[in-house]
Amino acid sequence: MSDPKPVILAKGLVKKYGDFKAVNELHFSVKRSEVFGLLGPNGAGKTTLILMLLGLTEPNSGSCRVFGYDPVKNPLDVKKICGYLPERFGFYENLSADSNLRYIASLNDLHGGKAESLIDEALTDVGLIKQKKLKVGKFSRGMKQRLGIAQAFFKKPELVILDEPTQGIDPRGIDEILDLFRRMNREEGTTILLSSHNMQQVHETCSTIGIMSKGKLVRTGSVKILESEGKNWVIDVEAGGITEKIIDDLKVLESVNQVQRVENGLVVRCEKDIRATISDALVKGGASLTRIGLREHTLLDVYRKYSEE
Amino acid sequence: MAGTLEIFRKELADHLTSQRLIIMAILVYTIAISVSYSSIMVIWKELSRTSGANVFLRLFTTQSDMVPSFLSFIAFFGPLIALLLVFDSINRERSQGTAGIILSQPIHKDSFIIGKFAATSATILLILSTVIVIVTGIGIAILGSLPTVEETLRLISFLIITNVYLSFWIGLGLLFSIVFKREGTSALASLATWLFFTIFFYMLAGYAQGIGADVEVLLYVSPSELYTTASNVIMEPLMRVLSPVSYETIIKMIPNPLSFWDSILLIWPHITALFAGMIIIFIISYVSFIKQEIRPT
Repeated sequence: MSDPKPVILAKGLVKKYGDFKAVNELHFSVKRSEVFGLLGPNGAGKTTLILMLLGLTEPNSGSCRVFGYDPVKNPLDVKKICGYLPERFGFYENLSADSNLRYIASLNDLHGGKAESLIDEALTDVGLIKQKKLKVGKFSRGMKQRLGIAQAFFKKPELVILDEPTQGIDPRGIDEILDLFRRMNREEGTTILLSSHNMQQVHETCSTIGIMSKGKLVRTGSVKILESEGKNWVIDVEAGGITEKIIDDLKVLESVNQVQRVENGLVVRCEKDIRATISDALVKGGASLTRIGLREHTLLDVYRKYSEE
Repeated sequence: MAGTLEIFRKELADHLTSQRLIIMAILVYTIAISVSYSSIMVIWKELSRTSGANVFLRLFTTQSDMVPSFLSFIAFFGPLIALLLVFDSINRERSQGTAGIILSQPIHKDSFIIGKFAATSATILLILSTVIVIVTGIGIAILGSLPTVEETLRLISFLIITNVYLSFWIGLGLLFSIVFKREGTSALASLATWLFFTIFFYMLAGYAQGIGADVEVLLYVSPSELYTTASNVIMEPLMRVLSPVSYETIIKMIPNPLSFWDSILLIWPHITALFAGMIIIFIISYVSFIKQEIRPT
């Protein structure tokens, strides 16, 4: 499992649409059996990057390798070992769930009994086995999404690329699906590249995270490292009788970056935990302190920090 | 090529089970049978005069007072049928999002469009050949004789020429479904092109003749004109010249039918032009499809 060679390796990728650079000088690598979360605001270039990795669109410059294959020259080799779930997709509505998968299986050169068992297994995994013979036209949004995930996983690919995989699925379904991702990763050693807006899902599922902004991958690292980096301490203060003098006193403190007055207290942004100093200052200044607390830091802060740069 | 056969199969199955095709097939069969019935009624009266020569070809070319011949029916409505089968084949795959899924499978992008084109062409071939067999069968039953070898050869050539002609329109329909993102727009474009070539083109040719232009050349730009000439020659052995001839030449001519190969020779340029047109229009749609990004919008 400790294959040092990266599964995905991109060097200086550029994709232009007219004058707009959707992906700009992007360097990027994903290790084998990693669950990589791609985060970024809308229009950051996540989908464009994915399309280039699969050879569905050609980069203007730069190169990428997926399992050592060049998606521009050998797209078929790449697509053979990759499962892909587009952000917006659909199935043939006049065909049943299993017929749709059977057609996709035949395009992967999977036929007969082998295809049937893979299809059944995938439909069981996503909880659609009872609706196997139902026409996709009668499916709900969430069921279609599940079928899409089944489509990406059923051929047991080595790399699965998922673009917003959990949209439209109910919270319990999301848990099941994320469980499925983790199981695939654990049992089959599948490498997963997941693009999402949902911080919590990324946090729960991914081992490594990359944040994209304006066509560049601005930061990559493990969840823990990124979180500790994002620590820009925020202290919430609830108190009555805060005077301007108290605020001025706080502002001159060395580690304080910003002091903001809110409805029933203050929000202090600083570089370390200075709760004790703040409470001292408040008491000295004659304010009545009711609560002082350190705000929990999440991936969201990291995301905010980097995606705005 | 990887996946072409699977796509061909799926598209063919889709066509053959679609309500659109069932409606069109009923229409085509009904018209073919009624047209051949009325032709038989006409031939029946003339049997003594023509002494039964090439009756099976005349089943497709004879028109009565009320009903046009099968041949002119195909020349007029055939393109519409071909366009109706494909006008939304690519843009619908895009709008329902299936294109993204299918093209991310290990197949060449080419397979997708080649499979679609071939499947639609095969569908048309299937309808046409069954129609011709049915009409010939009716002829055998009523007239009580079998078609000759030459008639069979001519009928097969007619089938091939017709299929090439209709494949030209399939290519055009595919092009519209690639260029226009919305199904409604491509339907309108298809209808407009069909109307232009079947009706307005001849009006324009009329005006052109009025100002003294070479209408003969102009007409050969239209695929339906090429097809009508080619199929008329192949189905009517007595047609010997295509260019305008002087009255003196005509009266000196002995009404002697051309052999099958001579008829083919006479219309070889038309067949080549039709075939080239089909290939060109397919290549244009092929290239515009390959260049298009599959990203769902």
